[in-house]
Amino acid sequence: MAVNILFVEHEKLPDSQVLKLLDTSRAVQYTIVTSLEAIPEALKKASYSHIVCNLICDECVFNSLKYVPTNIPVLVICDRIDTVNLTEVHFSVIEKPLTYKILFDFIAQKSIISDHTLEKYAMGDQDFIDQMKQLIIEEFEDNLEKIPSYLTAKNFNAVKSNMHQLIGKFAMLEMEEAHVLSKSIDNNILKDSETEIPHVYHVLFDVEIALTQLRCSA
Amino acid sequence: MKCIIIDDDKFYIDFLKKYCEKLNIEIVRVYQNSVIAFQELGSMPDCDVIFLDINMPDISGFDILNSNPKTQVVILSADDSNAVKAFDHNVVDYLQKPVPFDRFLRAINRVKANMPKAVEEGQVPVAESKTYVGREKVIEQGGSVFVNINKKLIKLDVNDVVLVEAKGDYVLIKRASSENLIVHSTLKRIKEKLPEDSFLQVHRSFIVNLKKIVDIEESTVVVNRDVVPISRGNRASLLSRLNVVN
Repeated sequence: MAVNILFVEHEKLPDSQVLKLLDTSRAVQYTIVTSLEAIPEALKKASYSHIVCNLICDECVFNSLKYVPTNIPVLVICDRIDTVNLTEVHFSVIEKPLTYKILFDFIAQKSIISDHTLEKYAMGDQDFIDQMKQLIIEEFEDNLEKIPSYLTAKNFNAVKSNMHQLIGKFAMLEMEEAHVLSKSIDNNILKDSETEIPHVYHVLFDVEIALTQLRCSA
Repeated sequence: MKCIIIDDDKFYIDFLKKYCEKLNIEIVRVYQNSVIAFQELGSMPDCDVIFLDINMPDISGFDILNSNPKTQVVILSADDSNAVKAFDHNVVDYLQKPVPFDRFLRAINRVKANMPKAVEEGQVPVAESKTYVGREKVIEQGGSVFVNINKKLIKLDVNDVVLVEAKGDYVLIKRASSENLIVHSTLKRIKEKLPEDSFLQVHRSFIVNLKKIVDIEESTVVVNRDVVPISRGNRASLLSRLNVVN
């Protein structure tokens, strides 16, 4: 999933643990604007998958956010959730501080997997579907553990081999973007690792999200 | 029907097991380690088809194909980039992972179509078909062509020719009701002698008899019992030559 977050903050928080983590994750792009009024302009300029607002919450904030398109998930971070009227809001509201886990869970709410193909190929056998999902979970866990170390060691043959194994699983789970990227990595990483390494991080991020969703559904 | 599975990925092995169970195909052995499969090629149990993965560590599917397994082979691979190369090894079919059941079923039907009738019906197997090898000397005569095999001119009924396949310095001529022939020639020279209204080059290595076509897929055509790749550029001309109902 191409994750591009629009952060709305009154001021850029230099101590933000989240932003530091995002800077190292390589798979998540983000832009910061400093006011709610800047949101419409930002949405015109680029396509965002999520909006995160770190503002002093009042009714004015919520009213402004009601105009954000409903297909973009919005997360609002406020000081005290019990002081806010949450009726008729279509976005998530949490109390400070925003951690990487909270942010990741928010991103992972947007489903990137589908059971449809797996169900079709398994001819509706639910036990078999569960068994196959468990195998994918184990493989994804293994990939998340090993592939970063292969990248560090510049062992691109191992990265290629792992990516090749993942291609069919991505097709099975209808993870289209990861499917295309994993094919590209499989075909090109030995020739052009510089171009493909960011794709690997992107795929790993999708694997992490898919893993969360698979664990919930398995 | 009996099969052997060679694949390093348990996920696909389990899928194949499920599909085989549904079709009453007996799995006589599963190799998750291609090195062991390679070492045991000569002593594998009898089977009718091998389901073979291409990308495996240390020993690839092509290493196994290069050793000319005695059994029919169906390839299963995550990408289709090796299809043409695989068909050069005379594999029966090439399936892209993940494989839907109906596609698997079609592959099995092709395997069955290639099985000797006697074996299929549980009778005594007939002798294997022979292939005669010779140097090219093609002489036309009406609906037939003469080819020079071991200094003997052998009459080739063009209506019996299923396909012609380039094999390096030779061409393999497959016939419907007689032995296959290998002639020292080029595809181009053979093509010149075959009637244009019945034969078409569908791939740089294949000329097929249009009357023997059984079915056509996106990138392959089944001619009699053989699966032949179609080049993208030749697909349109092939379809234009057939009586297709849209």
